[in-house]
Amino acid sequence: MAHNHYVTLAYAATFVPLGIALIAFTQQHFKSSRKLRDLLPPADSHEAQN
Amino acid sequence: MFFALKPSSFMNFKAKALPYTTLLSFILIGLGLYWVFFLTPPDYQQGECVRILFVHVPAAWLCLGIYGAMGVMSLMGLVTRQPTYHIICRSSAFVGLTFNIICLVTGSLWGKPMWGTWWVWDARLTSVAVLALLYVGYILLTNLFDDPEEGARKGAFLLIVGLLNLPVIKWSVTWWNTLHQPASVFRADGPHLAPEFLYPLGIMALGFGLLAFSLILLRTSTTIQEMRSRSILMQELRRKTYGA
Repeated sequence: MAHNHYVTLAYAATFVPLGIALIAFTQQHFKSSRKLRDLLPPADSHEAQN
Repeated sequence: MFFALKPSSFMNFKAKALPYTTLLSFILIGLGLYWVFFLTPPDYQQGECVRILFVHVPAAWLCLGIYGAMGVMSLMGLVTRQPTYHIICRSSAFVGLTFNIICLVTGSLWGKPMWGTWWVWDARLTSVAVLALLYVGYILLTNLFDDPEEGARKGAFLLIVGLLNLPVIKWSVTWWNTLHQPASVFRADGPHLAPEFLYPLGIMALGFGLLAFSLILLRTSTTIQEMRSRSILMQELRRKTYGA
């Protein structure tokens, strides 16, 4: 495949925001899971998270 | 049709589905990228730029599909009074807006070498830009109210009214004389694409769809967990304040 900078830019414009969204959402998810686990008594934490 | 979706049922579903949908989306996107860059030939007219369409078209389908699903879920939220539907809508809005922006940017990057311009105010491009404004409006509106239920209700009405834009986007290329080409895949007489382009496009679309679904599951479950944490903190605060 011959190099084309429009193609490179288009794929960067697609995968960079999607990658950032995936990483940010995963981090937020783990943070909120940890916070909820800390607030709940140990016996309830697993059940409440599910 | 209108069934109650409880937060606990959603969290159970998320726990089971999320690892599979995420993994499958990575596999499909990986396979799609390999097909697009190593097996698909350049187009006789568009040259290498045809490869942009393998991300532009799925992004366009997804921003429309997510908005349509949000409209239906808003209606279900209003009918069943289950907050889970509104939470899913709010989470989907970020994902839908991301795909909408990707669609507009990659479309511009294709338009410059093919049409000689980054942007034209043609019916298809303008109606997709209006869709992005609807997403932004919905996000702003739902965050505007102190009472989240009030925000969700007002946002739901905006979403339902905005559904009118979807047929305009779909048939804009038929109703008006546009620079944007007519539909090539979803046509009454079948797809007008060569298999070399159609199959990788289908794989990329499926991969992106599953990725969007995973992102929505992740974001929604985070919001539900945050709401639970806030509710527990409020209960503790009440107990400490009133000693009850």
